[in-house]
Amino acid sequence: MISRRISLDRSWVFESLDERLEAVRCKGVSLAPSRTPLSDRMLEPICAHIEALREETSMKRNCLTLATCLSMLGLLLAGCVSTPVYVPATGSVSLPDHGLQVTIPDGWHRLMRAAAGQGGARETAEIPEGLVLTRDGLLLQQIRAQRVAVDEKLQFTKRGFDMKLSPHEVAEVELDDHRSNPGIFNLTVEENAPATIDGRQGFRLIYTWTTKDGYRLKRIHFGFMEGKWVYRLIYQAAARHYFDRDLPVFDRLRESFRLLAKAA
Amino acid sequence: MSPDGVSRTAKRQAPWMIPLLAAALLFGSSASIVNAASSYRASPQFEERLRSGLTVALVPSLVNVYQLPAGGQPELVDEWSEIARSNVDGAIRKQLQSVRALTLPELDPKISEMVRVEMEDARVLFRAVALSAAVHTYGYPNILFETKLKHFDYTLGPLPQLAEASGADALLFVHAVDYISSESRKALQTTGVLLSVGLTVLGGAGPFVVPRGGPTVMWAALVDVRTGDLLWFNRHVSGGIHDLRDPASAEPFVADAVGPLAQKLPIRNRGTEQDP
Repeated sequence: MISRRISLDRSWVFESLDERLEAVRCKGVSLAPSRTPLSDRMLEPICAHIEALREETSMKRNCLTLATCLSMLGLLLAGCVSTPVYVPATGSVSLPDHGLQVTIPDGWHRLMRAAAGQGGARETAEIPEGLVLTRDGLLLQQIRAQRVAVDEKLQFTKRGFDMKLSPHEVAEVELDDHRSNPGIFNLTVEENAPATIDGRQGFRLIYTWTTKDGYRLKRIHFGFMEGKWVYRLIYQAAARHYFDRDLPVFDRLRESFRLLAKAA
Repeated sequence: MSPDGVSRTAKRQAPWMIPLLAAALLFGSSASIVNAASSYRASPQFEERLRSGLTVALVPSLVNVYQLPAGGQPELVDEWSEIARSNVDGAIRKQLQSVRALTLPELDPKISEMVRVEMEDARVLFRAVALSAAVHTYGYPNILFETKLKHFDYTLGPLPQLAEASGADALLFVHAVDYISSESRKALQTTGVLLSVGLTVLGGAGPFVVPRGGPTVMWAALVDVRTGDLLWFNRHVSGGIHDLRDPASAEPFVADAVGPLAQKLPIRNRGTEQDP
């Protein structure tokens, strides 16, 4: 990943900006709240892309030799083949790796990864984190649909899933993981109730929290267990304005949620 | 920024670097690196709102200044941040007023608790909105949102308290971050320069490493106070050649950031008319 290579070469830029400028917002807002598999792995490159952009500016104003500029550019081009990419998405999509399908609303962007296709053609591929959608940017709102293995270790909590857990208990584990995240402040659970998703008994969590910068977020988290998988359908947005505005869009997407045959 | 693209600050600090900077700019150009830092974004309503006349109030800017140590994490320095905030707000006033004879009343959050809370919420949300807008309308093609480029429609949502308290049509939100090198870091960099120059003199082709401060970044937006929509947005970045703690350095940086707005703002302004 070019941005990471740059960050290694110019670590202070990466540290200062990535940690303190914009990436910290990404991490503090989009990563810290969940620490689910939608993680640093996906968002760091995006944030680091910003850094690379900063680097472009810096390069024009600071002393680098042509060789250095070209090598940076070479790395950039090389890195593009494996970088995240947003694609306009709409209509029904299936995610075989996550065993689910949903209908994506108009005007939203799907986070994928760029991959080199045949003959050098640019193609996109599904990301390991499942479906990740946003309209304005991940910091402002995001919808995620994914599944994780029951035996997968969670990021923060010592508790884990168990196939014998009830939907309410699964919800408690999910909530505990979120609550255990040191980047979460003022967590307030507004609702923890049973819910039905695609005909399966699950849960619905609604909660708010703030980041260390005082940015307030709100999330609605549907989930259920099916076989060896825990499914998640999450909508998260800035508590101010954005959450209410885009909630109807999420509701429509939730209604379209289906497990693929033999998903479990 | 001077017309030749080399900061006056940089010249002051290191005149011997000018030839090197010139060479770097030349090489940078030949590498086709695009600097899109100074181009602004505007909503489709911007021109129309301008024609109808706008009264603009300044929301106290949010400026964070960090010290960059030789190693380890940057540290937020409150005292520096406050100085920089004062310089930035002063530079904004000077920039906007000098260009269009526009007074820029500052929104007073002490009017009421509800105003203060809404202002704080809006400022924090603005940071997230500004970052999103910067990433998706200035970023690499992979992460650009073409729809946002064609139809820039970021918003903070309605701001009823601020609308009433300010009496303005639009609010100017500004957030800036600056990084200042510590003495130890400068010493380390200077050592690097000497080594680089030495290697080059000895026939090597090693890259020069120029000591510099940390980057300076500013996001500024003109926000419709009724809808919260961003009418105009700009993000400006400089690579370590400005210091917002210094009014003389903050001024040209702010000019680059909000100058494009200053040139767009109308002359008519209710605040001006009310001023003695």
